[in-house]
This record gives sequence, C-alpha cells and structure tokens, in this order.
Amino acid sequence: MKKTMIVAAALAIAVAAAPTTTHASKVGTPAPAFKGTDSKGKVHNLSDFKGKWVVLEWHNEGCPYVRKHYGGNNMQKLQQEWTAKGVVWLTILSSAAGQQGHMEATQANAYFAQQHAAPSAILLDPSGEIGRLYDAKTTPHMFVIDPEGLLVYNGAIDDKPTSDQADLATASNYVSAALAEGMAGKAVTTATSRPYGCGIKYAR
Amino acid sequence: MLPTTPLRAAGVCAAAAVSLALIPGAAGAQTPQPGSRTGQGPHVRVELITDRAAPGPGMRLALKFDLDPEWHIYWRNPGDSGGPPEVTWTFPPGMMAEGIEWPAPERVDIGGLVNYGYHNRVVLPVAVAVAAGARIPEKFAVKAAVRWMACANLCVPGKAELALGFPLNAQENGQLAGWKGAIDEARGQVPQPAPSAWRASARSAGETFVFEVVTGSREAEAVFFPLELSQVNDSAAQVVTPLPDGVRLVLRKSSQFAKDPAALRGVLSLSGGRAYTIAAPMR
Repeated sequence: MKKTMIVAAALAIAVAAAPTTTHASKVGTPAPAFKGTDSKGKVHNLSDFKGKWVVLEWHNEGCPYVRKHYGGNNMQKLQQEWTAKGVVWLTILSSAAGQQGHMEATQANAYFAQQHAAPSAILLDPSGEIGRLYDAKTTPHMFVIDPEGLLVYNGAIDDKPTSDQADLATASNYVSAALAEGMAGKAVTTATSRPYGCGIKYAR
Repeated sequence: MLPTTPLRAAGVCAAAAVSLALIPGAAGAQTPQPGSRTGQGPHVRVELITDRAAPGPGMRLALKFDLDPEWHIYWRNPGDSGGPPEVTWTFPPGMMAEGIEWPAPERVDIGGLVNYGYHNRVVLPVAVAVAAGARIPEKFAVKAAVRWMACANLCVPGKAELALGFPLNAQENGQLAGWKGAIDEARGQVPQPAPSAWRASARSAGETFVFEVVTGSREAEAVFFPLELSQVNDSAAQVVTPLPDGVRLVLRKSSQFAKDPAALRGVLSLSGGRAYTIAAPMR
C-alpha cells in the first residue's frame, strides 16, 4: 500500500511537471496528440485527421489582436479558403472559466455564426490542456500540421504584429504561405515566427 | 532562418522622413496651433515632454506614460505577448528622431505567461539629431503619432496624436525642470554597455542555453531580457546560479526557436538596479 502511494506521488509530480516541457510543439517533429470536445459536443482526436492538413488557431473574442483579424474579415476568409481546399481548421478556446474569451458551447456557436466564421470545429479547452500541450502563448497563435502529423508551422498569423486593422492590407500571411508551400511539396520557408497577440488566459 | 519582427525603434528616422515627405511644409504656415501635448487611452495617459527650452543638437524629447495600477506597456521585445509602443515623428527639415532609449524593463508575470515591460510610470527618451547646417526654425511644432498596447489581464490598444510647440509657452517653461529631471532619471535607467573587462559566453545544451558572465564578483541576482524574439522561452523560469566571479543563467529555448544564433544578445539586470547590454558569443 505504502509503495503504491509513493508511485502515485511520483506520477503526480510527473504530471504537474509536464506543462513546462517545451518543444512538444517543435516544427519538424510529430504534433502532440490531443483529444478535444467541440462546441457541438463532438469529440475529436488529432489522429482522426491523419492524411489531411490541419490548422490550429487560438482564439479569444475580447482580444484586440483577434478582433483585428475577425473585424477585418481576415480570419474568416482564411478559414473559407483553406477548408474549401480540404484543410481541417480547428479554432481553440483555452480561456479558463471567468476569464476573457471563455465561452460555453451555445455562446460559442452563436458568436462564431455571427462572425461568419468558417472553421471545421471550435474546440472548447477551458482546462488549457491542449493549449499547454502546444505551448500556445497568444491569441491568435497558429500551428500547421501536415498529413503525416508533423508540425510544419508554429507562430504568428502574419508579419505585422499589431492590433491595427489597417496593417492587414500589407501583411504577409505565414499560415497561407506554409499551407501553399506544404501542399506543393515544398519545404516551408518560414516555419516559425514569434506569435503575437494577447497572452492566453489560462486556468491558474 | 528566423523571421524576425522588426524592432520598431529602428524605423523611426525613416518614418519621420516619410511623414515629412507627405506633408510639405509641415513646419510652416499650417501649424500655428501645435495641438495637444497630452493624450490618453483606457488606463493610460501619455505626454510629450522635452529637456530643452531651446531646441538644438543634444536635445531630447520623451514620451511619458502614466498607467493605472496593474496595467503595463511593453519593452522593445515584449516577451510572450503584446507589443512595444510605436511612434511616428514629424519634424522640421533637418531634424529627426533617433531610436527610443529603452529603460531596463521588468518581468511581468500574467497568469504564467511573461511579458517584458513597465508599470506605473515610464519615460521613453528619444535623442533628436540635427543635420549639419540645418537651420532650426524659430517657431515650429514637433508631432508624435503614438500607438501602444496596454495590458493588465486584459489588453486595450491606445493611440494619440501629440504635438509640442517651440518656443515653449510660460506654463511649459515652468514644467521644464521637472521634465528634464524625469528624462535624466529615465536615461539613468537605460542599460549601459557591459564593462569591457567582463567576459560573457553562451552555449547550447539540449533545450536550454547556458549563459555565463564573469563580472569579477559574485552576482546574487540576475535576470536576462533577450533582445531577439523567439530565442528564449520567456515564460520559463531562469535558473540563476551565483558564481564566485559572476553568474550563470540557464535559459530555456523558445518553442519557436529555429537555430543557434551567433550570440545571445540582451539586457542583464543585476542586484541594486544595475542593468547592462550584453552579447554572449555562442561557443
């Protein structure tokens, strides 16, 4: 009995230490496996999308940087363009309950419909488990995963790290570039960049 | 390849030049009203101040930010999130702003993510360069279009169009000593180049950088603020080990880290408010 407790304690320490492990989200390595429930109640495993390109988008509706991309219809256009080409686009909400950007399922469905957003699914991650697994820092923070399950992009949505909609016109979009190059069988030129935005409001 | 975000300060002169080009005669007849020297946004008040009544070489202007408690704005590398304030200056021909002289920042921990920035009050000085032979008009206004991001747990952007007219009016002349004091104090907080006798080095060790600096004496406290984005994982704890003649820091690499740089560059803050710019060659 005593031995079991020691093992359990050791496991608890290992679990507690896990979120500090970085490079789980290092490009060129397998994207960390995750399971998440979407706003329609459906459970998704990353492995369900083997054979497809996958985009992960971290989201907080109150964040000025997110509002730049939604208010300017930029994110919606990207979602429409790339899902039409067979990409699985997962919008992920990792804000904890009571924090800015947290949404229950019905609220999320109404809000994203009103935004004319077109992701494949909206994953609700109030525990922050998926966010911490990917070391997601900001909203937005973008990841691209190839059909073999390798991470090929980790970083910002584009090269204009501001909250000003006027900057969209001159921005070069890293996610589109990564998808276009990857689908053409080329190496991704810009595989990492500093994600910019608001810090994710994780559970503490 | 590291796609870097251009540090905003670097573009100040170019931006000022562009602004001038777009506004012919900016310093001329169309500026009898210099506009407001002060501006504000949610949780933030900002002022354009100077350390000279008579403009000329060596003059400094500064943006003085006053923030509500718990709110912060950002250093040139903002850390995990946010972004530094940006300024576009408009001057008479022959004058231009140099880069912002950034006081040493603090680590701001917001729910486990770490920003580099400033609380309460921060003054960001800017030196004004005057071209050789340039004639400074007797009467003109300097304009500063400022935008910033302020965050507590939440983030709110702000912007202001500030202007300071020369010569200063009586009220401004009355404030000049206080402004100069604030600018001098801020300049005193700008990191100094590390003494030439110091030896700094860094090496890559798996998922970390091991950064060592020999200062000649034991350093009990140290915080490293990386200048480059996406090298160091900003939110990871920095493991500080005092050495008999310096200090060692173990810094976790960023998840966006791409390849070893030639050197780790940044600001090293030590006990007693000492702060130095430092470049540790990788070996």
